[in-house]
Amino acid sequence: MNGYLYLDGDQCFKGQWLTAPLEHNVNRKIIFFTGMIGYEDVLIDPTYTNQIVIFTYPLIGTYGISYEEYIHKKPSVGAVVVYEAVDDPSHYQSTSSLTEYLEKWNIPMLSHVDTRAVVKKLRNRSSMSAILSSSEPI
Amino acid sequence: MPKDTSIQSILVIGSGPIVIGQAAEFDYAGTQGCSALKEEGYEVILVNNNPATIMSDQAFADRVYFEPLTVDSLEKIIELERPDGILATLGGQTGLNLAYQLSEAGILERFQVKFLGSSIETIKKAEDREIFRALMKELNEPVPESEIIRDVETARRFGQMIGFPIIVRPAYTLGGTGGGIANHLAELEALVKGGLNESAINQCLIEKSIAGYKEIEFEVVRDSTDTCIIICNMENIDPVGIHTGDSIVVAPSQTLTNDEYQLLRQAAVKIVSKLGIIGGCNIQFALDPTSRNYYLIEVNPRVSRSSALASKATGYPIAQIAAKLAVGYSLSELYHPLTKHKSSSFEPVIDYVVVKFPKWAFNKFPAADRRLGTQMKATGEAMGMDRNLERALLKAIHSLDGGTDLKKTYLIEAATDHLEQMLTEQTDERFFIIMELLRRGQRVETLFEMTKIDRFFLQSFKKLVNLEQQVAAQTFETITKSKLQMFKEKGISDQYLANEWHVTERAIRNKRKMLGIKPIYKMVDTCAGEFEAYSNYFYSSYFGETELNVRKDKRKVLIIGSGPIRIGQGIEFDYCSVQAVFALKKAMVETIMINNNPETVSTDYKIADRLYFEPLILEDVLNVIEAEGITEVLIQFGGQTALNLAEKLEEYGLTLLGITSNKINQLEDRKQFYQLLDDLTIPHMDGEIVQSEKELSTAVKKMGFPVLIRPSFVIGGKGMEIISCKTELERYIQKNRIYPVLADRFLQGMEAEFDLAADGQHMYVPAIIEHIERTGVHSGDSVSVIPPQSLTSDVQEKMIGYARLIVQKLQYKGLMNIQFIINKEKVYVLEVNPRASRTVPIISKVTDVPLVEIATKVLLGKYHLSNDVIAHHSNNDFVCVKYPVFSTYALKGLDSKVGPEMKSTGEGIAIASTFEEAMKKAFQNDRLKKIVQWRIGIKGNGNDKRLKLLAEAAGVKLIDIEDHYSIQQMKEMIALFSPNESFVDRKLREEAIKNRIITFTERETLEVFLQGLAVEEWSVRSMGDWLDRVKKTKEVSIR
Repeated sequence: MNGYLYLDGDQCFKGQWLTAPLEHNVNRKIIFFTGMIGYEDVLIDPTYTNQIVIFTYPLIGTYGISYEEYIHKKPSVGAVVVYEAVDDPSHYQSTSSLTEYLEKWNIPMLSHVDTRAVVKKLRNRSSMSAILSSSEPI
Repeated sequence: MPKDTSIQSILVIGSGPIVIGQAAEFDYAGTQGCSALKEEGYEVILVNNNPATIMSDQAFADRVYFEPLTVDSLEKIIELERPDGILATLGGQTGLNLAYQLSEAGILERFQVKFLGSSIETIKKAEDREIFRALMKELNEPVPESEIIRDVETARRFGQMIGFPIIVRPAYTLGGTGGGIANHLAELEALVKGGLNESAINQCLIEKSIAGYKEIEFEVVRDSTDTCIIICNMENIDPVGIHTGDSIVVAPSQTLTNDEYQLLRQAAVKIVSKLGIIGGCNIQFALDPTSRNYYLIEVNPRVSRSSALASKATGYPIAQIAAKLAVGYSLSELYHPLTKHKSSSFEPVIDYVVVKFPKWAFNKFPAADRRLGTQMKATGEAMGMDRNLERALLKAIHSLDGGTDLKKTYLIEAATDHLEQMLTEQTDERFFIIMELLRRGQRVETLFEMTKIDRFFLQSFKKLVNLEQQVAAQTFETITKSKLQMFKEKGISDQYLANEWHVTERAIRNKRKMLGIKPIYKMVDTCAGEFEAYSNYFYSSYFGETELNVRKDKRKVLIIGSGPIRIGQGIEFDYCSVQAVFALKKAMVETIMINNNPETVSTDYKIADRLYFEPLILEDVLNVIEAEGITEVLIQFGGQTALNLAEKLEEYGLTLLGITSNKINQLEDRKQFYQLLDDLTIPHMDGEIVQSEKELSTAVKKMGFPVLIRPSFVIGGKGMEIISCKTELERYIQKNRIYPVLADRFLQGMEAEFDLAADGQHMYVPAIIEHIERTGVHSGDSVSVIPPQSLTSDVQEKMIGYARLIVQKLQYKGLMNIQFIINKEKVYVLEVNPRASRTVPIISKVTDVPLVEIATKVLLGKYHLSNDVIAHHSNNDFVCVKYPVFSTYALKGLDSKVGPEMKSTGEGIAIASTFEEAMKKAFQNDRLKKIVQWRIGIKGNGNDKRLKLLAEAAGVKLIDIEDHYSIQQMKEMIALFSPNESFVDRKLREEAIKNRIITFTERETLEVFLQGLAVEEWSVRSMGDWLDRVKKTKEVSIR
C-alpha cells in the first residue's frame, strides 16, 4: 500500500509501506544516515529516539537482524524510510529480516522512496520535521 | 606537510604493454599521477614502452621514453636524466619490481634518486612474504598456515603435514600467474614447479586453502602523518579461490555486518600504518561466512586494478591523491576535487550499488581452458552502477557486448546434470549456468553448497529469473505502466522486452516513453548527497528525481567509448576517444562521454565535460542523447563497438559527424566494398560472400587453395581461418554453422598498412607501416616497422594512390586505416577500416602528428587540408618497431601460433637509429642477461644457411629439436622457433610458454629477433629528442 513522506508541508515523496500502513499520521523530526553499513546500530541508537530515520544507502537489511545482539532490543527510532529493504537477508547470525524486526516493535517503514532526493532537501537545514502518512496529498 | 621542494624532476615508471593482469588501469593511474605531479610544477620523466597509453602523450609528461622496462634500460635513462626522485607505485607490479631491482642494484643510491611515496623498506615488507608474515605475526593479524618454499621437496613435506587443499602463490608475479589450488600431492608438485619458475625471485607461498571464504577488499589511502582513510570496500561475489580480477565484484560490501566491517577495517588500518604506506594500498581479506574468523590474503602497496575500480565507484581519484601524498602533502592539505570544499581526508560515501563484471576472451578461443582460479584470465571489465543491485549487475552485463539476454542457447540445451558438472568446474560461464539452474527450479541452498556464493547474491540472481518469468507472462499490448516501470527499474533492457514480446525495440521505446517511463540521472558525488557537489559524473536510474541540469544552447558532441578491454579492441581506442575529447574542448565544443570501463582514462570525470557511466547499447546511448539534447555523435574513435551503433543512431535522426552508415557499409560490407574497389580499378583479393556450405565449396573450387574464411563485421579477426587443403575445408564446414561467410583467395605476400586523416578531398598520411611477417598473420600480432624497410617507392606510391582514390570517391572525412597486400610489385587493398585503429596512437606519437585532433576538427567542419600531406621518413631519422605482446601464459590451451585471428593482448614499441637496434630493444629481457650461452630451439625445416649466418652473427647456437626433447634442453633456450601445426609442435610451444621462453612461429620474426641480438651497443633517447633530431636534419636538408 502507498505511503507518503511530507516535508515542510508541501513536498511529498510517495513510497510503499513494508510494515502495516499507518492509521494516524506521524509527525517527527527527520534525520538522515549516509552510512553504507550498520543499519542495525542506527535503529537502536538513543540519539535518534522517536525520530524518522532515512537511509541514503539504497539497499538496507542485507544481513538481517541477529538474534543474540539485537532482536530483543527495542529500536529507538520512530520510523524508517528506505529505497529498498531486503526480504531474504543472508547471515549466519540473522534470525529475522529488517521488516520483521520493525514490525515486531511496531515501527513503521516506508520503502521505494528516492532517499537521495529527500536528503538533498534536508542537508542545508539544521533540523526539520516530517510527516509520514497513508493519505495521498490533496 | 607541504610538498617536497628538494626535488625538481621525477621519474615515473609505467606498466608497459598490456597483458592479462596489468591493463588500462595503470594508464588511468599513470595519467592521473603524471598530471598531478605536473600540476605541482615538477618535471615529469616517463618511461613506458606502451605506445597506446594516454600517459605517454607529451601533454602528461615532459619527457617520454619508449624504452624497455628493464634494469639496464632504466639505468641508462637515470644516468642521462639524473632525476631527483622516482615514483614507482603507479606502474603496477612491473613498476614496483623494477624500482625494487634498481634499489637493490644500488643504482638509485649511486645517482641519488629519492624514492617517493612508500619507502623501499615498506615495499619489501609488503611484497616479501617472509618479512610480511613475520610482521603480521607481530601485529597478531591472522594469515593462513603457510610456508615459503624454494623447492618442491619442502612443499611436499608441508602438504603431508597440513593436508589438502593447498593453495600455491608465487611471489613477484603478474595477476597471480602460476598459482593454483592443489587437491593432492601430484598436483601440488606440478603447481609448485610452475610457480617457482614463474616467480621473479624463485619463491612460492604455499598455504592451507581457505577457498569458499568471503573475499573482501579495502582500498586504503594513508599519508605521512598517519592519517589513514578507507576509500571503498568491495565484496567479491565469487568467494576466495577465484582471482579478484576474474570475480564479479560489488561495492560496497553487501553481506558484512557492522561488526564484521569494523573488524576488517581496523585490521586494514593497523596493517597499512604498520607497513608505513604513503599513498594508495589494496588489502584483501578472507572472512569465514559462519564466524568472525578472518585471514589476511594479500596487500598491494600501490595503486591497482581494484583502486581504479574504487576510484570510479566512488569518484575519489586515488592515483591523483596518492601522487600528491608521495611528494609530501598530507590528506588534510588537499581538496577533494568533487566536493571542492571538503578535504581529501573525507571518506567517500556512496548511495548506489556498483557491480564489476569481468570480460574474458574465451569465446574467441574455444580451445583455451575456461576454468577460473588464482590465475587471472580476464582481459578487461565493465562496471554498472544504480540504486539497486539487479540493475547495477545487468548494466555491467549489458556492457560486455554479449547481448542483453541472460539465457544462453547452449546452456538451455544442456542437461541439468551437465550444467551442475560445468558449475563445479568454476568456469567464466558460472553466472549464466547458475541462472539457467535457477530457471529450472534449482534451490538457492543447493547452489550455495555448490558455489559458496553468498545466498544474498543468489537470491538476487533468482529475482532476475523471476523478472524473466514475469516478462514472459506479459504482452506488449497488455503491459501496464506500473509493471513496465518495475521491469525498467530492475534493469530489463528494451531490447530484451522487444525480443520477448516480438516487437521492435523502437516499439518498446515509444511505448515506454509514451507511458512516461524515462531514466533520470543521479550524480556521483562521494558524499551520498550530504553536501553540495560540483560533479559532472552521472549514472542513470529508472526511478526518482533527476539531478541533471544541462544547457542545451551550446554545441555539444557525444563521444562513444569502446567498453571493456578485449583482444582486438584495446586501450588504443581509449587513447583515441580521449584525444577526441581534448580536440573538441580546444574547439570550444561541449564534450559528453559515454563508456563503462572502470579501468580507463576516458571514464575519469576530469576528461570530458560530462561523463555517463552506462552500457553502450542503443537504449542507454539514446537515453543520454535525449537527456542532453545531443544531435551530433562521434563514432570513429571507440572501435568497432561504437561503429556498430552507427546505423541505428542514424535511424533515430542523429548526425554521425563526418560519416554516414552508408559509407561505413560501403567499406565494411564485403560485396559493396569489392564493387567499390572494382569501380576504382584497385586490385583486391578474389572473394565471395557465400550463403551455404555448398556455395562455399563451389567458391573454393573456383579460387583454389589457400583461402581465407571469415565472418563479416569482425573484431580482431574473430573466427578467421586460413584453409589450405580439402581436409581443412571439410573440418571447417563441419564446425561452422553460421552463414554467410566471406571466402577470399589467400595470397602469400607482404603486408603493410597506414592510417590517414581526410577532409573529404585531401588526406594526411603521417607514416607507412610495413609488417615483418608475411600475409596471414593478423596485423595486431605482427611485428611492424616505420619507416618501411623493403617497400619500394613505387609500391608506396601505389598505396598512397589507392588511398587517394578511395578518399576522393567517398568524399571521406575523418580517420581511416587501410591494409594492403604486396605481392612482388603489385599492391592489393586488403581492407579499409573507417575508424581509428590500433596504430593511430603509435603514429601520432612517433611522427608528432596529432591525427585524432586533425580528424576531429575536420569532422566538426572546422578544418581543411589544403593539400595532400604525405610524410616520407627515412632510416636516417629513426626506426620504430612495434611488437605484439601475448598473454598466452595466462590462457592454457591457447596455441601461440600466430594467424589471422588476433591473440596478443598488447603491444610495445622500440625506437632506435637502426632497425637492428630497435629490434634489440623490442626483445630486451632480463632472461637474456642471465643466460651465458644463447641457444634457440628450432623445430621444423628452418635450419638453413641464412638462419645459421644470422645466428652466428648474434652468437646464438641453433639447436634442432626432435620430437623428443628434454625439459632441461628447453630451460636453456632463449627462444623457440616452431612454425608447424602438428600436435607435437603445439605441445612443444605450450611447454615453452610455460617456461616463459619466447616462442616464434613465423620465420620472419625469428630472423629479425636474431638481427636484434647481434647488436651489442644500444642507447636510450626520449621521444622528444628523436623528434627534435628529425626536425634539425630536415632543416639542414632544406638548406
